[in-house]
Amino acid sequence: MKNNKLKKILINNIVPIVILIIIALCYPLSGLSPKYIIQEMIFRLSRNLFLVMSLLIPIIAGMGLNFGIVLGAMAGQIALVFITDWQIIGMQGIFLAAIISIPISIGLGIMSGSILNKAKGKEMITSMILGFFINGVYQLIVLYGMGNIIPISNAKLVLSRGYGVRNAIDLKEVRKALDSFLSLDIGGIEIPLFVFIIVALLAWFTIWFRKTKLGQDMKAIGQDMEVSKTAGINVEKTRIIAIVISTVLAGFGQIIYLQNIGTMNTYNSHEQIGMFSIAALLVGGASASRATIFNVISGIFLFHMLFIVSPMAGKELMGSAQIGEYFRVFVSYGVIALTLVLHQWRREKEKNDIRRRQMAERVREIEGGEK
Amino acid sequence: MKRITSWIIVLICILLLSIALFVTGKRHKVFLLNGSKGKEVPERVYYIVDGENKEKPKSVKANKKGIAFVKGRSHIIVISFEDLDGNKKEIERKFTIPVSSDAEIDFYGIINNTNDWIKYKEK
Repeated sequence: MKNNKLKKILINNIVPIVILIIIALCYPLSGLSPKYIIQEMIFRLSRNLFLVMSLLIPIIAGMGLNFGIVLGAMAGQIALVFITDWQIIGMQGIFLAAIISIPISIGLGIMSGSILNKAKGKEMITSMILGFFINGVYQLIVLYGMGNIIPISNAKLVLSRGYGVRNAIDLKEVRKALDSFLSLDIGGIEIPLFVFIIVALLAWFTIWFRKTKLGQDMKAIGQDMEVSKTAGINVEKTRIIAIVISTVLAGFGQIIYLQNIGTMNTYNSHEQIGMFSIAALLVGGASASRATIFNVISGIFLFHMLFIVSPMAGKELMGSAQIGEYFRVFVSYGVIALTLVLHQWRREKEKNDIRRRQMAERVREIEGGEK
Repeated sequence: MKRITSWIIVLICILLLSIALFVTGKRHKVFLLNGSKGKEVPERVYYIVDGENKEKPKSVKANKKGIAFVKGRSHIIVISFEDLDGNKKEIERKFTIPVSSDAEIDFYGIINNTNDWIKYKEK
């Protein structure tokens, strides 16, 4: 009995355990000081927490891991292009960008949600491909529309041919606008308190949201769509709302992320966001059907720990930081594959268990009838 | 109907907030002129705009130009200089910049208290 329980815990937390072992092995080899690691970790947590938390609501609604958060990221980036062009700087620039991103994210979210409703049960792969598709539309708008149809007056933003946005945008006027506001310095370690307050508000919102009527509806849909439909829940609409919320939050998350980085890679910054956020969430022990705020925090912590220590460990071991980086990429994306396989295996196992139990019950009933 | 009204109110609030953010967050260039050729101006004028570089104020030499960047509409400029008699003087002026403009401030105008010490340039 005890063995079974331990086995279950191990299987459920296999990913964080493996990552933790790798970090434990790499950390002494990296030679990095604890102070450096703590500072890096605080910055990286503040940079990514919001973005990864945007994945939680679709999971409640049973839609799996929303690879479509790249849509929200694109909305955030378009908003940042506008505020840079209009020269709105500092905190005002960030908040205005957040407001501008909302209608774009809502539009993209509704479209994404409607498509995902047509692909029930295959939401993850559909949202991933949808991300690639909208990326094409985004590139078309930014590369040909901006400066042509959408007026861009700032010459520094536009390509020399007169239209299209440059590959890299310097966000120096909004760089660390949120991070430096209410920043604390404890023992030489800088803590961007304001960003953590925003993240705490989102965490509170997510917990509160689960208790609302809409949150309960989403939970019910996540457990059984057919039963929810019979109970009178508008399944399609609720699923669209889940995706819209996730997309809007991802837009905000991308703005927080880029204000911390300080440079926007117009055509690439958003591309890896979906994969990265999902990898971080999975590393934290979440699955495609269950994720908590603890998974988000522990996931980003473990994932970034790997980011920090593996290149240095690679350098110390093999004389090349690049090998450590290859190792990190291999491990992090291997983790996604492993988690998704485990998730499917668990689902199949649960289905088989239910089938076996039902069969046993029926056999018992038949045997009882014969007697 | 009640729902539509609520949405309209929310949208108006967001619109007003956006306008407020646009106006208060807009960056403007302020060109600073220490007189033009032929005018008698101090050798060097130190300036502080909105309290920036208070510890080590920047300066503009006679008949030269400087530039400062400001955020929002209302600002304060403090200039300090030695007049022709060698007395130290400090003058403070408040100014506003329209949303779509940059400004040009002439220290000669501030020192001699003329009305045209600030001019606006359309962006």
